[in-house]
Amino acid sequence: MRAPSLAMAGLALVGSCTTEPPYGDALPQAQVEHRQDLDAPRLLRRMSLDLRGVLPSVDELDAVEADPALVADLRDTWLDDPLLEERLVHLLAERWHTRTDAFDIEHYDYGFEDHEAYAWYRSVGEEPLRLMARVVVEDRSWTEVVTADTTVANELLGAHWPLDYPEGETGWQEVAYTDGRPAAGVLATNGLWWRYSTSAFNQNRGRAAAMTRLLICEDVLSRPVSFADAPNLLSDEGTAEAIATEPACVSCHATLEPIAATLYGFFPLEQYNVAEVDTYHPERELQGEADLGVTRAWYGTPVDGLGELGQVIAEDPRFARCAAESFAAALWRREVALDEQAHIDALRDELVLADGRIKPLLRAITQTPAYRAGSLSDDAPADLLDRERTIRLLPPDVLRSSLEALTGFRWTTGDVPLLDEDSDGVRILAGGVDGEEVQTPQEEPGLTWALVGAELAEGAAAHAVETELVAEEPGVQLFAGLTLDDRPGDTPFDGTLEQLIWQTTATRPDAQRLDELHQLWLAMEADAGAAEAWTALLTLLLRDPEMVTT
Amino acid sequence: MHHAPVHPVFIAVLAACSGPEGATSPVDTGAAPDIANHLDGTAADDAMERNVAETFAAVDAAMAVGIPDPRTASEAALAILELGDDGTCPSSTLSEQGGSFECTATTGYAFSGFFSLMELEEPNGQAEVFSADFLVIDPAGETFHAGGRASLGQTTGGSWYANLTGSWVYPVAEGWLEDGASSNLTAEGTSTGPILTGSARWADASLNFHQVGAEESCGDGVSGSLDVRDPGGSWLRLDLEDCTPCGVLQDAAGEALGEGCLDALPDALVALDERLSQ
Repeated sequence: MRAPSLAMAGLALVGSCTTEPPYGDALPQAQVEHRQDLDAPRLLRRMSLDLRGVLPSVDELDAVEADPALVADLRDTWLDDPLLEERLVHLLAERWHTRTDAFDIEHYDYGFEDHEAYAWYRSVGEEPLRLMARVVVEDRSWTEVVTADTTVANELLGAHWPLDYPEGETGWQEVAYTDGRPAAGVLATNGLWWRYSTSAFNQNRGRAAAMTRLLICEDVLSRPVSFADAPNLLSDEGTAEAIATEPACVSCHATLEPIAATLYGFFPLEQYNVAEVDTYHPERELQGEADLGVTRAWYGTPVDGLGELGQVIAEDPRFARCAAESFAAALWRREVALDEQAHIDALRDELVLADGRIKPLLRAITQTPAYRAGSLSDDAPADLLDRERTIRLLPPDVLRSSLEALTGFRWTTGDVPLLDEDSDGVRILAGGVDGEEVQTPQEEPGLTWALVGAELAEGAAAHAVETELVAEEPGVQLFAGLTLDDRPGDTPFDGTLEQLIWQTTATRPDAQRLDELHQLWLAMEADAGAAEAWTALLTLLLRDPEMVTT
Repeated sequence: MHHAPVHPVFIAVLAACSGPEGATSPVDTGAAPDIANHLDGTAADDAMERNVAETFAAVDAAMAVGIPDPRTASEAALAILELGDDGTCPSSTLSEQGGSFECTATTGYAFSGFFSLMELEEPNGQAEVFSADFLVIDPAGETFHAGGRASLGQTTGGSWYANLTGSWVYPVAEGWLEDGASSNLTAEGTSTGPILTGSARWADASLNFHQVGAEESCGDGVSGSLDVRDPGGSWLRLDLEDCTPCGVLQDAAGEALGEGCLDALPDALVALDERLSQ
């Protein structure tokens, strides 16, 4: 087992042992001064949706409207909210790409019926995400992502994979594999390697490339490579020779092959066979060095296997920095720019000083100008205008969870949430990431995004009105105190409308806006009755640009 | 719950901020003691001796079960495929050369997957290759998993060679197939018996073989080397010495850990030879 190494850690922390992160100092001054923060209620709304996936309550909005300093207190409370774990699963999925709708092993290979496919595929794909999310919410060091001797699995995985999942229990639980695989966190999960599968010719190289991208933010696939001088790449032999000898190939493969060689316990001899793919093969651990002709290593540091690889990655200074960068990008809803690297260093220091705990990092990111930006000044530099996301589309999982919490509406076909799947659903159309065809969230509004938003809003509005106003069931108390007999000018009507706008947008409506909405309601009511009028009005509010963005 | 307690980067950086105490904090690896983690003192020596003995015993136990071989795999697989409904399930189109299937027979056996059986003419002989990716659930609920290839060949010179790849298990079978095997193992018949190369895991032993078997110069003896994975996940090397199934177990750095013998190895090789040279 490797001892901690100051030299390896080498994080240039001289002078950085302070409790105050120098965020402003680390940014070019021009970028700080051209950003204007959201006002307190809108900032609170952004934080609530980002960290919990639901809108803040009316009481919470009222509180920060009266005292903006309470935003930080509520944010800190939400970092301990049980909803954070689920939200992190989706946030991490945008980058790790494991929540796909299919794997090499199909649901029927385990005897599942078609209607059970969604639950099975999500269980598989969420395994590594759940482990990472659990590490975060339990305030454990992020290094456990590559060193833990456990995974997080549910009863479906527990019933079919070699796990010590407790019999008779259900839900996501931290358990251990029983097939002899090393302790390497997500690197020892089936879910990760089912997503990043390999073949007899690829021999784990793609997996190695995924590791460098995900763990240290080095994407070898993005490097410019010229094959102009390469020999015949159409044959296996020609490609193998090029990988070993051509400088353009060697520049990446000299790094990838030694990493790939550590993954042979996960190398299937039959790519589509259940027993080959769901069970670790310890006897193949040494095969990689022979097949690839390299010594197992991480960027030149020899390792004796996957377990030690995880330890070495945890020691790599790029690992902590990549965590800071990737969480910042996730919450800024954009890539980190080159001139923001010093800023990322400051966030990395925050993570380091917190013993690798991610919650302090999340807290720090929400304090950054890039996170809080609500607008840019007219004379902001062009590059800042181009990249900064002052208005951010709600990702599909947040649309789903926030509208379900607000209205009680679940948009499904069978057991499948339509906003969370792409075979029958509309996850990509709604701007989401499926991890295969689409690998980054949609940043700008589009036609299908608008259509999905309209359908969702209409469905949610109709459900809420039907439940609470027509059937007069309790529902989620969206219309508490209101009846279909109330009309514009009546206190229950006006109060409900103002509260709905406040809760959905964190913005107080002015008199003109209220009057326009009154006129709309009256026109609809005259035409189709009060229930339809409320459905139309609520639909409008739920697809309002200030509702579907942060 | 099993939390890995090692936080190298962050421990190291904390040390930088909090003074020299942090720099000397012990790191709990969390791993169970194994024979590659050397300890000091008499107690440690005793533990090491015991672990070396256990390692030899574990490998020997696997040898006693029998070395995984393609004939056992393919015969058992073909036999269970016979237990459906004649001509309809596993498949109406299934032939001796193979096919795919997805059905439950009136006999109570459920079949899913495919197999192929090919006769290959090769420059120096003939080979029979059985490829499978299927599972069969028997009426008792036990599952035969087959995923890989089982190849057997005869050379024009009268010797044989065999290769078993992939994962094979049927809990109601006998021998190595009962607990199953994951294999990428090749055996080559010689005038004095088989020689093994490749990797296999069965009966709780994960092994890599390097020309292990009855080398001609050893007469009835055995030679070669094995890599053995210990319970902690470290790989140990055993070089068989003086044409005996005995040798010194070494760690990855070449340090001797202890001596021992694989007493069941010679008989396992003889049994393998008998099965594969038929």
